[in-house]
Amino acid sequence: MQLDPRAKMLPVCLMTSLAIIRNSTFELFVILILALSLAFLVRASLAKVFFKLRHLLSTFLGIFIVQLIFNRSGEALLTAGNRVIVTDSGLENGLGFVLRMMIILLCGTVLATSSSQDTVNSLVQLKLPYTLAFMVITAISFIPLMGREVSHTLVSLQLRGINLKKIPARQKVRAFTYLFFPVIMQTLDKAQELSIALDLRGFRSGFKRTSRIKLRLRYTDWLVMALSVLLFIMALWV
Amino acid sequence: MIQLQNVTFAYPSHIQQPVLSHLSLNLRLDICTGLIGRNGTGKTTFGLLLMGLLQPVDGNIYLNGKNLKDSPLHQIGSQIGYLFQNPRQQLFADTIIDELLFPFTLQQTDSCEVRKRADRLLTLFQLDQNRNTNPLSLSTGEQKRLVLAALMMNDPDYLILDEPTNGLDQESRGILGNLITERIMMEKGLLLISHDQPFVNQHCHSVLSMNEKNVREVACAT
Repeated sequence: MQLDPRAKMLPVCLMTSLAIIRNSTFELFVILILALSLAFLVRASLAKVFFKLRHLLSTFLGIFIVQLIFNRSGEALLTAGNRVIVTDSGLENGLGFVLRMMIILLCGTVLATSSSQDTVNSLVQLKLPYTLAFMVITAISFIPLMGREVSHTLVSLQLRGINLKKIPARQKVRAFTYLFFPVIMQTLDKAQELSIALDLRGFRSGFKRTSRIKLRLRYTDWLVMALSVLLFIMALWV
Repeated sequence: MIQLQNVTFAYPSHIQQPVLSHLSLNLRLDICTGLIGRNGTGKTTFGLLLMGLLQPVDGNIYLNGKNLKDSPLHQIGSQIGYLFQNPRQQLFADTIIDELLFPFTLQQTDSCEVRKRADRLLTLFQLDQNRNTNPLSLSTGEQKRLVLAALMMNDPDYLILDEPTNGLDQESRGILGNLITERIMMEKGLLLISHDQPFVNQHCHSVLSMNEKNVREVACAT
C-alpha cells in the first residue's frame, strides 16, 4: 500500500518512543508485531534489508548472549550445580535489547520505502525549513554510500595482495585502521564536494523554493495515523 | 599468459546489451599491450574482468592456466597490479613510506630487504623527499606515482593501468615511460588502458581497439 511519508513518520515516531519508554518483554514484542505489520503494509523489502544487515544481526545476538551470561541480578533460571548461569533479569534485558533494535530496524525500513524527494516534501509541509529537511535526507543517503566505500576498500586491500583471513590476531586492530581511514576520508571528501557543488548551483540563494508536487493525505493515511495515536494512548494508559 | 575463452559480459541492469560478446583473446604477459576505444565501450570493464573483480556471464578467463573464478582476490592481486583511474581509492596509510610497507607489516613479512625495496621504489618514483607526508595531501599525479610504487612492492607479473597518464605532467609521464621500459626489459608486461594515443603508440607492442561488443588488434610492432 502507498502511504504518505507523514503517515509513516507518525507511527514510526510513536513506536520508537514506546520501545524506549516500555521495558516489559511482552510489550516490546507487541510493538515489534505492530512494526512488522506496518512494514508489510507498506511492502518494505524486509528480506533484502535483513540480508544486507546480517552482520549487524550477529552483533545483536552477541550482545544478547553477553546480557544473558553477565547479568547476575534477578531470579536464577538456569543453574549448573551451585553456579547461576542465566537469570530472569539477564534474559529480560537481553531480549529487550534485541527487540528494541529490531523495532528500530523495522521502523527505518518503513521510512526507507518513501523516495527522498517525497520525504523532503513531507518534512517541508510539516513546516520544517527546506535546508534542514534536505540536510536530513542527504545525511541518510550517506549511510549506503559508506557501506559501498567499505566494500570498495576491502577489495582494494585484497588487490594489494593482503589475505585478510590470514592476518595475525595482533595485527587485526591495525588492519581496521587501514580499512576505516580511507572510508572516512572518502566520505568527508564526498561531503565537501557535495557542499561546494550545492553552493555553486545557488542553493539557498535567497528565493523561496517552490515545488510542483504537493503531497495530500488520503483516507488510508488518516486511518493509519489515527490508529497509531489511539494505540499509543492505549499503551500509555495500560 | 592471460586467456579469455568465449567471454561474454553484461551488467545486470543492461543484460540485453553485453559489453563483451563471445570474446576469445590471448594477452602475453611479457609485452606492453595498449587498449584504446571511445568512452563507454567497456575498457575499464575489460580490466576489471581480468582482475576477477567482475565475473563473465559466460566463458572463462585463465591466468597462467588457472581459472580466475578459482583464485581468491588477494592471490590475483599479488600476481597482477591494478591502478584505478582514481588513485585515492587505493591509498590506505597516513604516510608515504607506510603506504608501501603496511601490507608486509600486517602480514608480518616485513624485512630489511622489503624496506630496501621500498626505498628504491620511492627514489625511482621521485617520492623519497617527502616520505613522511600524508598521501592524501599529494597531487593526483604524485598519488598515481605512489600507488604504482605500492603495486610494484609485490613485484607483480603483470600490471593493468587504467588511464595512467591522466593528470600527469611531462616529468611524471617520463617516470611512467621508464617504468614500462624497465618492466619490458625484465619481460614483465602490462596493459595500458588509455585515451592517450601518442603514449600508447610510443610504448605498446600491441594495440587493441575496443568498440561495442568487440575487441580487435589494430597494431602490432614487430
